[in-house]
Amino acid sequence: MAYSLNINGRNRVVVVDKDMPLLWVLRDILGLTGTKFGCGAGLCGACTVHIDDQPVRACIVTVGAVAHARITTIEGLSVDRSHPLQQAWIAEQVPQCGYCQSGMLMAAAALLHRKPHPTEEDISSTMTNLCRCGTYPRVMRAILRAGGKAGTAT
Amino acid sequence: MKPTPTPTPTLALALAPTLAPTLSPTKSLSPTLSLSRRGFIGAALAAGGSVLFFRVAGSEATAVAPVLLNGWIRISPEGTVTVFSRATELGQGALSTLALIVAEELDLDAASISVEMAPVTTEFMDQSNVLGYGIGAAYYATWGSLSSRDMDRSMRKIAATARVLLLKAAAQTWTAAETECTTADGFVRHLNGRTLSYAAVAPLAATLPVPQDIEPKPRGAWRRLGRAAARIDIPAKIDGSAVYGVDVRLPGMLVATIVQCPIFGGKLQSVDVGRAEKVPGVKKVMVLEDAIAVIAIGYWPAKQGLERLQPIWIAGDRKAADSAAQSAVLQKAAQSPQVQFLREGAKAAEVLATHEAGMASATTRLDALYEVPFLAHAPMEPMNATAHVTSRGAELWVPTQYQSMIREVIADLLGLPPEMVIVHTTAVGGGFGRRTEVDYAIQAVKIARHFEQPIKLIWSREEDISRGYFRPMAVMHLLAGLDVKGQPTAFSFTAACPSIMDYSIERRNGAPQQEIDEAGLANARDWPYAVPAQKIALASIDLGVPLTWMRSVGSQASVFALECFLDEMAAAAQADPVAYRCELLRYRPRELQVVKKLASLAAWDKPATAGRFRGVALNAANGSVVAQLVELEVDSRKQVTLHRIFCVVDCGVALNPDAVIAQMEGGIIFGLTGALFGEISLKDGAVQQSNFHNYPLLTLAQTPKIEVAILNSDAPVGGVGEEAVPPVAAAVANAIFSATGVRLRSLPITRHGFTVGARIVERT
Repeated sequence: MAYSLNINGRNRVVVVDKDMPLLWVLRDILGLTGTKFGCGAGLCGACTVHIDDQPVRACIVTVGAVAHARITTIEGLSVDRSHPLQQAWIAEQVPQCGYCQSGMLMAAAALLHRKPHPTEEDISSTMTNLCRCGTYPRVMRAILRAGGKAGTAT
Repeated sequence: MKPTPTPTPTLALALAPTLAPTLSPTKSLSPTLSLSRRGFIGAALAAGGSVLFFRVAGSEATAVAPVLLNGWIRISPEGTVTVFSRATELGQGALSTLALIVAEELDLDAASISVEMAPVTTEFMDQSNVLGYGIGAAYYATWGSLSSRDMDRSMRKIAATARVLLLKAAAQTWTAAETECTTADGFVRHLNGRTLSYAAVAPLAATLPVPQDIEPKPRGAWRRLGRAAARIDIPAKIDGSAVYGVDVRLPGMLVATIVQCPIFGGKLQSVDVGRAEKVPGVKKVMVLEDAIAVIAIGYWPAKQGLERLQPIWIAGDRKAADSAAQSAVLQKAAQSPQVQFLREGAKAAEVLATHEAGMASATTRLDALYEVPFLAHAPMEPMNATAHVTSRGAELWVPTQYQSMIREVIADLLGLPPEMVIVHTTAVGGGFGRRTEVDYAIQAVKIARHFEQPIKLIWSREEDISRGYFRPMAVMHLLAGLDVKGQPTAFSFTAACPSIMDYSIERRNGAPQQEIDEAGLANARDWPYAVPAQKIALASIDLGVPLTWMRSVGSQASVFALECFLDEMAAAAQADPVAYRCELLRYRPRELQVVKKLASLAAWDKPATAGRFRGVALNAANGSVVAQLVELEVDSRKQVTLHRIFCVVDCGVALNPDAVIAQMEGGIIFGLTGALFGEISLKDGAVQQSNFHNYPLLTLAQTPKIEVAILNSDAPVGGVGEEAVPPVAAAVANAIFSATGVRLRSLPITRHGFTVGARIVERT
């Protein structure tokens, strides 16, 4: 079936089965490989994208369900790494292997969109993405920094 | 500690020349990959320095740059210094440390250095190609907390020698004395004020004889090393442009996924491939020895096909059974007197006699069994490899820790000379030892040899968690005798565990099977504590479960047992656990200093916050010493909240202190996941865990505040990638003992009815 998807501000037409998860449409059909495959079951968050500004795990959302929505991926977070979170990620030297970081950033961006100055409590209760390298302390600091609360991590 | 910002360089890195490959790939460049690669390089440049994980076929530049020192360093006419790495970037910051080392010794801004993975060829595995320095063994691999140590010994010497060659070349150009010349910021300067850029003198420098006796700078003269520096691999990891193994896209490429026999040692009885082949997009179903692969136009159709297979597997005659039975076998073996003594340089009979005399003189006798389960590495990037097999050879793109083994194994498999196997290292989404195995690369080639197109094989998370290779299960039997003052009179440590060497691909490298895999003893071999009459033994017992190295290897199990047992000894002696350790570390000044620093950092001499309890543990391994203190609380429902962890590390000298702190944080969190939740269990020969719902990882909410202090000493550079992992399990268990009086002697702690809560909860 043909779908016209609005991805990062551009309309892209794809011809795929309606049950194909958005993750594989992004990665295998459109070549947007910044969104990662981690678990295929909505458990790790490596594939987090925005659907109408809401964080969604793209491995468990079918393309048919998002056909009329605005989709934003890590490639669309900014064109030049200028998003305050990306700058905070550099300042705090967050990533290690980096594989989960696209999803972390997208989850954090959705949080900042909803709550521009999140507290540690907000971050703790929202950021459920998994990281095997153990970047959580720096993720916490970077989100606080991007929300204008640098140096307030307890 | 904040990294020092570095200026934006203006080098044209896309023109940086590289080695021409020995086997010229013929495929045209994928437009997709070409774009992402350009983005990737540009991305890396913006932060200063650059890193190129792999070069796609057809992208080799043709310009020739002077090659210094057997190919490790190149200087382009534009002034770009390219250095080759044999260490893989796994997130530990290895490539950034390499750039810093070369910048330091070459008197150059790190921002003008480009790091590329060295070609996987014999010349870059040759010990003689690193000026006789470094670990320099005949392999190309990343493990054992060796990257910085290897670079410190080899690449620092190489860069220092390159600097001297450049200086000599300038002196010759000017017919001046070398003593009248100095180097700074990419230039050679004569005392009369003349200057020549490195790029200008590099062609002559490349022709000069290589001095063998150049000493790198003393630590006191460092201007770049030893200060927090921004990592050069990070920019491409925050905008989705880094190309990991799963992201590789090649023209015409097909995608495969695989289901392997869930029963270790079992085999396929029957499968109907017809239903899978009917899935739109599926190209082929292939039965491999103990696995079935579905090859399709993308991962999703391949997975759809796989789910329609419904294969019937049957058990074989190997030993993998239930975890409870395996545990019982190891427990019996660990307590059996029929074990092999391994204490180097000592005769078994003498060791035994001394130990028994020591035990006989004791007034208190402690006897405990400790146990850890199998663990899966579960890096966030599932196992994958991309392979293209043609009449001209094989080309692979792999997120791997062991390039030389892939080259060797694939050459054997295809009956090719190794030169006809090209291995590209992609960005790697976590290794932790799992990617020292090459099973997925072998599978990819076994599939790809039947196709004209390149094949990208991607495992599901379920395959990753349930099929190994695993960290071994282990049981450790510890005995100690204490005198009337609580001081030890004798000690014994007996480990019973299967041998990693029986399963790891490493056995191919001639690791002798008859030699016992001492990983099970790990830290017991050189316990820093002054404990007399030690008896150290190992029972190596196969359990039929595939095993490999996991970050810090046997130290995970042995440090858990040793450091908890030391707390048992301190408790029996009615001594403070820190004071007891310090007393027994009296002959080990480095370890003693680290423990003392930890005690002061965490204000051990003051009572803990009301309701909170503390535990400490120490690990000395790979040239480094790490001590940790955990502060936690346990509520009446056995819910544990981790509040703070203090960590002190002496790794000789921290080449990039911020990267060392990141490794301590990451190691602690990796260790916590294992200590709190980690368990791979078997029933009827098959693993019971499959994904993150039943193999959970620590979450951000559960993560304690972590405070790291670096204690530089005059010791050589030590490892930091693994050393923070082992102590945290013991520190947690010791703190839980302090809180509850319950001594946890097996992991994970959730096995004992504890749960783990969030540190920061919303105030209501």
